Amino acid sequence: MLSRAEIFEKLKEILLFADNKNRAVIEKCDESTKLVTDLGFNSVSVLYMVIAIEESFGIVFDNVSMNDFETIGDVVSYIEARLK
Amino acid sequence: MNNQPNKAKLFSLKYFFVDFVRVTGALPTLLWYRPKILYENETAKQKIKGGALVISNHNCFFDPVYVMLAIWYRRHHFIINQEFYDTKAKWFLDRVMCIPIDTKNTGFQTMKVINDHLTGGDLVSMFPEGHINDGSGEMRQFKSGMVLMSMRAKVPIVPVYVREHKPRSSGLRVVIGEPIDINKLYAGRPSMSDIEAITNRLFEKENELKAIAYQ
Repeated sequence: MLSRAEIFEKLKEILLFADNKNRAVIEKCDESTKLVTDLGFNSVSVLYMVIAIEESFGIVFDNVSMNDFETIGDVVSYIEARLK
Repeated sequence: MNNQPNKAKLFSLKYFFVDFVRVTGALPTLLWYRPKILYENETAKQKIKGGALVISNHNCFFDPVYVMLAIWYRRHHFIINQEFYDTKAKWFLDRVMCIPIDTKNTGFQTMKVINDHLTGGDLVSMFPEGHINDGSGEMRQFKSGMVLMSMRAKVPIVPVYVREHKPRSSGLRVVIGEPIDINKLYAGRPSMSDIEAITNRLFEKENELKAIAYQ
């Protein structure tokens, strides 16, 4: 099973591929980075990220909505819980 | 891509209400509006088979009816705003197979419902402007969610343009464009910039259809 750090790195790769305008901010991001205020994500960006995560990690996002994820750490925690 | 309509669904009690509304509503609306359906080209004339996402401009409250008249041979699942769904209209909207979406906080479950319909061979219809436009004749900027839906379900997008039309007048014109398969345009997963570019392209396409509608 992937460690939390490995999940974070894989998620960072997804974000870097998704948003090539914001590379500098994403490269410096950590788990406390906020998706909307720091990375400038909107509803479509979050949906894109979810689709990419589902495909990359082989998990399903269920019974959650966009507002449930404020920071990158929230997303990592969700992935970690789903992988268990 | 699922190009086969699900024939098991053709005669189902589940669709009794929506089919009743379609059949009983078709004749008076056809007589009243006398719609003229135009096509962008020969490919656009082909009937839509299997899962597809229909997008249209949004001039007025009756646009879903006009879109249904144009693509009369399929049942539509219209994506509607949660605020509108949470009214007394809910009972009716459920039975005519609308899919509510909370645009302020979209639940991933809603996206899965849409994806399941599309991959299951259904026709999902939506208005990517998000709201009825301001009546100036200009469309609002499109939202990109439709591209993600199409990309995920691997179904084509069918652009439709409804010419601005007073609900009580006749002579309705609807233009149907050639289906666009974005999964063929982008091998692999497009980036967000690509998605924005596709959204802009679809907006341009609607303007091309608009030009045909006003010829």
